[in-house]
Amino acid sequence: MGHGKVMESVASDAEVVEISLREPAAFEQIFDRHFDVIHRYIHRRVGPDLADDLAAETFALAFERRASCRAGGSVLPWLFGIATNLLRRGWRAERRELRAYGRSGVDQWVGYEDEAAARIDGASLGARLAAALAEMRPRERDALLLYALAELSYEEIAFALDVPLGTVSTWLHRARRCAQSELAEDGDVVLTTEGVDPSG
Amino acid sequence: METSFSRQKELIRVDELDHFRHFRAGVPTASEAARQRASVRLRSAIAAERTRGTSSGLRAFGRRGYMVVACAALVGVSAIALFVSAPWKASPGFLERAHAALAPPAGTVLHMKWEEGVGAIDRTCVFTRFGPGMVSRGPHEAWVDQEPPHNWRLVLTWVDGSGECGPDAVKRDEWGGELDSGEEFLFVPPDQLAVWPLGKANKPPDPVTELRDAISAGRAHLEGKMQLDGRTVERIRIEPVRRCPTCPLTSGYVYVDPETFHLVGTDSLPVTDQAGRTGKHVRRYLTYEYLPRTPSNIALADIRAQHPHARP
Repeated sequence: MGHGKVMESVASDAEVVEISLREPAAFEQIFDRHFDVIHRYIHRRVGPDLADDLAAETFALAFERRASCRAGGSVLPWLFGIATNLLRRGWRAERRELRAYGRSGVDQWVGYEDEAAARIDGASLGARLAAALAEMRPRERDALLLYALAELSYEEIAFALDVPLGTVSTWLHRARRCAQSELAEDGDVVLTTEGVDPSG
Repeated sequence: METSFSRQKELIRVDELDHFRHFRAGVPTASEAARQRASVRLRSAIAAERTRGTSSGLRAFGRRGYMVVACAALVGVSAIALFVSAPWKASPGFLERAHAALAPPAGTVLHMKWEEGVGAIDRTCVFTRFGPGMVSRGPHEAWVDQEPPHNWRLVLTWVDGSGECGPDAVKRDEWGGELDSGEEFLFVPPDQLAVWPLGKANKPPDPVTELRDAISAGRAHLEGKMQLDGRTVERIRIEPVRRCPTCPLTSGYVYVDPETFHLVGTDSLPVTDQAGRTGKHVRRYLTYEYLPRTPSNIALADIRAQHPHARP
């Protein structure tokens, strides 16, 4: 895609969206810029098949709703919000899959070469993370994964989910407590880097 | 994040949430095929907006002096109404299946034929096909190639405003172009393809995309079975949505076959224009099918192929 004649690449996302209100095809620039990262976020949550469909729907919906986009610079938080809302329809299936991953230690979206590899991964952190995610409430999981996978700030998560900042803090606090109980043994990570001494 | 240090080693108590940054970090990037499909999906939405913005026969109608009520409804005609929405949880099975079943297959040519009714005040030529106060038009017919550059051709049938309702009053307009480039023509007999201002031509409606979008957005609500023109259909309500800052806020109904999900018809809700006139718009699809992409079917969607000797 790419209707680059419409604007230079220096245009911000918000400017592109504004232009697209007059020239709809300009919105393809938003697609070009952010499709991969949105697809990757969805893939990490619900697998490759649904990711293909939901990522496509995310951009189609974003296009239709662009007049209400309030993003001032990057539209990524806004796109993550739309994607997360689409994912919400399948939260039960997501939870089921996370529980299965947590119990079996086998991530069905990872191509294990042999059973031994799958067993090894079963003891790994990934399965425990999956188990922790499965125990969280959907909104807490959404907030956590927007923070961890999408790498949004608290403020951006609040924008993406259209909730107050305090609500995001509460959700992440609960998610943290849930994770603490599931990951207790992994809570302390020791880095054996020598010679680091802030006190001099 | 909590952090502590010792002289011998750096001990970092990692925030539990940061562990999740590595969750499934090894997934591959989107395939080119997935990107292409998503790109087509977006272009389809862009094309649908173009279609809605130039709702078909209305302008033609107006040029012939009809007092079409509900300009908004007209504009909305395409845009509109139809697609509604409603929480998936209200009817997850049917809407999900409809969403999947209505996905336009690649490598085909969409063929649709429909009649429509528009509410009017100056009912010079009023038929009862859609009830009192409704002007009927059609059947219209359109073909849309599902492959780039997405050629399309639309034949509009309408009755002029002369007051005569007989066969002599029936007129036809033939439009065509490419969705991808936005190129649009009006065929002017006997041998001219008049280039039309970008985005101003009449275009085929795109009700299936509208419906699928409404389902995806949670704006479609399954209301149940009913009788429509003697057949059993499922009625899907689309909740109000404003497509653009200046678009009318409108809603409507979509009717689909309960078994095949084939599109049967659409209704807008009554809309009042700025002059206070109220009207609505209905469509009844006589044909909605995807034809194999044979040379002859491809040509049906290509206005140049239909008029090889016509020149701009």
